Amino acid sequence: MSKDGNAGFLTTRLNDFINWGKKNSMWPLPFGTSCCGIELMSTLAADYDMARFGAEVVRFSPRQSDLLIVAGIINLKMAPILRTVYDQMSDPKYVMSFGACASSGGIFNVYSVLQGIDTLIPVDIYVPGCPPAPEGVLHGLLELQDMIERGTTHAQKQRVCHA
Amino acid sequence: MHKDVRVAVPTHWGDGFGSDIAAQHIARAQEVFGAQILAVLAAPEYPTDVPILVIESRNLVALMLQLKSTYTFLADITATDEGETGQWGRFEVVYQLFAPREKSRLRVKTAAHEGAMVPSLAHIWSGANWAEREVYDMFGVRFCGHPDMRRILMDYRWVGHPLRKDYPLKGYQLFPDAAPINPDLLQMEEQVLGHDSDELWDNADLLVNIGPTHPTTHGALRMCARLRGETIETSYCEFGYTHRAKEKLGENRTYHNFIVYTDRLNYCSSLINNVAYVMTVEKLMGIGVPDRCVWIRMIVSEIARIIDHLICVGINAVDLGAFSYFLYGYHQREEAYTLIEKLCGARLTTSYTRVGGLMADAPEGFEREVKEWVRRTRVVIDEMHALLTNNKIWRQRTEGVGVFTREQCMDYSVSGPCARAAGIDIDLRRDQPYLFYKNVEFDVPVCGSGDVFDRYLVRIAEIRESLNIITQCADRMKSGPIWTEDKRVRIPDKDSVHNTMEGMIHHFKFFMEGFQVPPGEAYSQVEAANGELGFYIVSRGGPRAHRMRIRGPSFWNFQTLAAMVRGQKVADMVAALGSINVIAGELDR
Repeated sequence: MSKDGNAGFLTTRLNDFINWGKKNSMWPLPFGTSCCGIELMSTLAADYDMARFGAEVVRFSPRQSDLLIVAGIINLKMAPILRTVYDQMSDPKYVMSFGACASSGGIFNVYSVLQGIDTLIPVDIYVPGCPPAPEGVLHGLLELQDMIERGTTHAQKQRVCHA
Repeated sequence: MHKDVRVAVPTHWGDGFGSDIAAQHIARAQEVFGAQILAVLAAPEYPTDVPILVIESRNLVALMLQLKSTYTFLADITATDEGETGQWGRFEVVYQLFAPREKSRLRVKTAAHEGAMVPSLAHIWSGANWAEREVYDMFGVRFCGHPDMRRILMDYRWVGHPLRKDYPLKGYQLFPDAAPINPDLLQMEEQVLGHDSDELWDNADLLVNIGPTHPTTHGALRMCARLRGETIETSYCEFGYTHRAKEKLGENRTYHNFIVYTDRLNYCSSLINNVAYVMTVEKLMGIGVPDRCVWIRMIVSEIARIIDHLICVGINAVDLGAFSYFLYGYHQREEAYTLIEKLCGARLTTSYTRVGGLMADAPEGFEREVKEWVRRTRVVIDEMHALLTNNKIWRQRTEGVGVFTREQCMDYSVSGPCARAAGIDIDLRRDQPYLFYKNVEFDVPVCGSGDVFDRYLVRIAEIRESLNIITQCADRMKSGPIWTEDKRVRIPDKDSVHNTMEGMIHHFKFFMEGFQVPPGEAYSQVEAANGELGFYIVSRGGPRAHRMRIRGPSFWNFQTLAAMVRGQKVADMVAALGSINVIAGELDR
């Protein structure tokens, strides 16, 4: 902070610094329900090793995690639970919609399936595939890191609005 | 077009066992029940694979008690909605029975009008409980004498019954909140022995909810338990959180379209589902496939079985704290994925089989690569065995935990490795050999005590046997056609599609309309990784099924959990749940 009280320069740098920290230490909550959960496990296991990108501390408690990975189908019975889990996460939180079922209902346009989780919670990044290959998931994760760095995720944009 | 017409004998469905036993029992039932037997449907008058007894519902229990002496295994309960055209009533409730010793199968049907009750079989086979609840949930057929007639897959507030023909495919119903714990279901009937004799707990009951997003549930299951201390006094399971209406889709998609949905049943071993499904349709149409196709189907089934077992034992170990063990198994799974990718381009959701053939022939050198993979997997299995089997912590956490005895397994219709761990020597690959399983040599590993540790041992032993089977198949596989010559189901060659008018029309009609399946019904059973996987298809002609029933082993195996963990610690529930390998996609369908 300079002597005249102008904090602009420093704040920008600090934001960048915080975003750098955020993007490299995401704690994912694997909300794996079906087939995609298995591919998420592949991504977390030794061969693809998501830990290389700082997202290795898998936490099943929403209060401890900041990246919600919705891997698999969300049906209408599950939808309120997903909403609860999302609400319990503390800001800033990011959502990855993993696979076709979570993104759009996929091949299941039927009575029991929610047609995309974005009708329920804000989604930052969609990973296509049925299920996506681990390479695709890692690509999605890197894209999300870029978004966090630029401050364009839903949680970060909302925060700017509130400020 | 392949000139080499070498169609295999159509015995690759695993049929034709114990038909004399079935005939004897039908004759006896006709003697005893006389006019109460509404009909006996059998081939060739009625196109069905096994004979069907249709009985009036009020004599159902008496008939079942009589049949149970031989047909000890209740394979499935389901229903069909016949609408206005039903001969005996709107709904037909279908029971699939299996006599393991005589290797005989029989189907019993009873009819129910709208609003009529059918007697429950839950006091004859405890396993009938959930299956009847599912029939109620999906069709609205109520069962009298049932201990717990609630919905099972759909939310308790759901209106209507989704598998009725008049329920729309897209009839969404969204509810604002999740179902709370139901304390009424956790009332205790009697004191459970073996709880902590600490005064602090003596009057302290605790209702605990586990799941549906819990690290131990691996999929969306939920368990509500009443604890005293850490001891589970009583519990109930809640699921349906991944219900994707696959059976309804089976009635709304063509037979060809439905192949993709079979991948997503047991997604840990989708190749077995692919094989089982197309085999059922082939059986319904009477189509044989060439030898090479059968051998490849066997190889992929066994690869799928191995990777399913690897994931099961790996996850079971992770839940009890052995993480590195999981990574060993998962690496081998990744290598198997590479093989599967070479076959069909996909890792998990394979859709590899086609009715009458395969999506693509195995690439050149596939046999060699498979054998190489088998060799490496053997080494890894030995390493995994050395790492875990005699580990003191692992044995203490698993031995004597989650015991389910032989009699209980038969009572609950448990099949597959869980049943074999309890000493039930049934393996459909050996007992009702489909594909070419009768031409290969393998052992069926059986243990005796039925605890978590024995389930682990059976799975590891089965992996080794499957590796042997794969080697034998790869040795005996010869080059040749992979497609049947039957014009009805054969996807036309791209050459003829691009160059001839007939070929193009055929191709268009095949994919836009689908092929016609003659009227009839068939149930085909396959030894999947977790037990008996059955597809029951009822056709009324046309390109779509009238009823597409999927008998997933997870559904029946999961039912045992509440009985299995009663009087045990919460931590043991984790071990028990991992060992029965419940796959949500197959459980909820």
